[in-house]
Amino acid sequence: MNNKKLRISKAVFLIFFIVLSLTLAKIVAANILATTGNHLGEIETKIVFLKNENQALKKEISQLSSLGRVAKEAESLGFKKASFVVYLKEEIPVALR
Amino acid sequence: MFWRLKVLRSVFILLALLILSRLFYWQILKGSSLAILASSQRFFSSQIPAPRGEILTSDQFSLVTSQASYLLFANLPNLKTPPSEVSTKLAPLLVSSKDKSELLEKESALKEKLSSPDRVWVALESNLDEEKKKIIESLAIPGIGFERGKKRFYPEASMSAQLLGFAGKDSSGEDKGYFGLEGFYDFQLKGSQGLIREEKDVFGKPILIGTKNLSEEIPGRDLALFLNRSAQFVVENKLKEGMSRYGAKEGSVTVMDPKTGGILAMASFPNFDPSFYASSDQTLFANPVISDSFEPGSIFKVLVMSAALDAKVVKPQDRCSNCDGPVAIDKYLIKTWNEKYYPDSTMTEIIAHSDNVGMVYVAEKLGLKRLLEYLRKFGIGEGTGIDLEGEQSPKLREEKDWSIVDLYTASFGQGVAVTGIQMLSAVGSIANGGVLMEPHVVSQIISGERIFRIEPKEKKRVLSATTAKVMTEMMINAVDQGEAKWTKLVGFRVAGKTGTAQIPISGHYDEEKTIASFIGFAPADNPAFVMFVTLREPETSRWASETAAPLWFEIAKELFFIFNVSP
Repeated sequence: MNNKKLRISKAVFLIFFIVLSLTLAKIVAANILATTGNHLGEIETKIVFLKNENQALKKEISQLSSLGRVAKEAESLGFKKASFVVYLKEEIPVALR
Repeated sequence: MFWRLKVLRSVFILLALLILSRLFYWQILKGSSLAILASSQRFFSSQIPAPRGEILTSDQFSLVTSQASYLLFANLPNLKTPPSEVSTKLAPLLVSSKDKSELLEKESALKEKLSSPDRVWVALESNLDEEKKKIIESLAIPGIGFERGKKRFYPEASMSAQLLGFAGKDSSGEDKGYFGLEGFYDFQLKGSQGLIREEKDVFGKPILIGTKNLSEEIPGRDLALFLNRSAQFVVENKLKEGMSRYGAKEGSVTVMDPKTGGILAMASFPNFDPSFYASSDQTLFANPVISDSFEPGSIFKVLVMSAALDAKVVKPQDRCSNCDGPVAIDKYLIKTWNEKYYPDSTMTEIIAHSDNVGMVYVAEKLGLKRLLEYLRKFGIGEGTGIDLEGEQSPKLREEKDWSIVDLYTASFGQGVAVTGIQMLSAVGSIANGGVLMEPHVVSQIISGERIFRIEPKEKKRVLSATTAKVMTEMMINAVDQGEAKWTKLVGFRVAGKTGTAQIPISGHYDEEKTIASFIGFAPADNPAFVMFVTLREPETSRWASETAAPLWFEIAKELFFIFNVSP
């Protein structure tokens, strides 16, 4: 009878211990996860910042590689339009064995 | 004593009942409204705007893209600086010119908005770029803030403006494309906005283990064009120079690949800057190449002659029996453009001399019924189906509405109306062995990693391959022997035709005002492009041989380099 009572009390204690541990674990996890919102917010802000930066850089690349700008730059660097063009024939002009 | 216990018990029961009733009120009766209130405190919803698709040239360069734009606003309760001081600081940054009256006007408008007694939030200026935003931010005016948005950006400025159209707003403030590609492909470009609803903490940070409902945005699709950026650049510059040189009021150039119908370049002047469409002349929004009709003049002769050859009513070496002088029809006298007559001209010579009297002979042989049949096959009188918003098409009159004079004048391109794109497509069919292609600006629609290719569309066979070849040789001869032969490029076989059409004004034709045009393709044996040049009311000379034709060859010389065409 005493053994049975001891086993029952041990089982109750074990169940109580498991429930308490899980409850504590949940509280700890929730506590950790609740503050990750801050980190998540920072990541989201960073994503937005990088997207905006990408867009700005893309715009700059487009502006710099526009033909209008390239033509103006070429002119200011002294490049001139070719006045004489020679078309090369496809055949190789040498004797072949 | 017992009664005191009873009273105490009753008091406790009463208190308990009160608490229960209050709980019932708050949890049951007010429960749903409180839940909504709690939800609104915890949950934040926001729309995720869909980025509008880009428009790319054939070399993947962004002809139209999006950039950040900012709305400048004022939160009036937080505005510590007096409105007059704020408006004095901001006004110079928000006006584009140094005009004093404009500056004062702006200052006054800002002051009025900032002094509104019954408002909390006012918008001060929209569409500010990044640089302007940084300058205003550096002023550090409390109560002034920015709301980020997007607007269209054109790296090549006003290049191909009428082809592109512009993105404005509809009546509900949503982005909407108007004219050109932006209008035609608005649904593809706009995408679909998303919605996010998530739990946030008291600091506004997202709760990772909280509820989150996300409906992702669908970005707009990108359009890849057939447009060759170098060809477009050359065409625009040369057209501008040509219009200035010849004193033309308007001008347009369109270049197309006759084998696919792909539009390689398209330019018209005067045009507008799509970045500033709101302040532009609205009459310039429509693309004249697809919207404006005109009487084509002598370039139309190639279609009529092709029809006659294909119907086998004439052969190239047949001789004209009435080409020795003007032809009298009813009360009208049909003459040649230079009043020179070539008796016994062959069909080839009729085209080379651009002989109106010779074309009357051809029209007589062809007859009205067959002429109309072939014109409809060429696509005259109906839309080409080009993928641009705003295409118009003048109707081809019914057979019963034509008189004999109409038949004869139509043979040399007067009394019949076409658009530029109709003319280009029709001559393109000659270049393409007799097959009419549907003109197209967009070659691919890009959705993320997926690419939808738009296949070239054959509309119909207009001429036999033999007829197309014969007509090509006639057009080569017209370039080599015609009035524009001084402009031709040595070493290249070019098939083309000049056209100088009188402009109808108030029921009669103006003696001086003309539309000078040249249409042709090269290299004639395996065309890389077909091009149509028009100049409206050139002042230096009314004749196409002295204006549109030399301009055509000037552009063609550059296009040969771009498309790797050697002599």
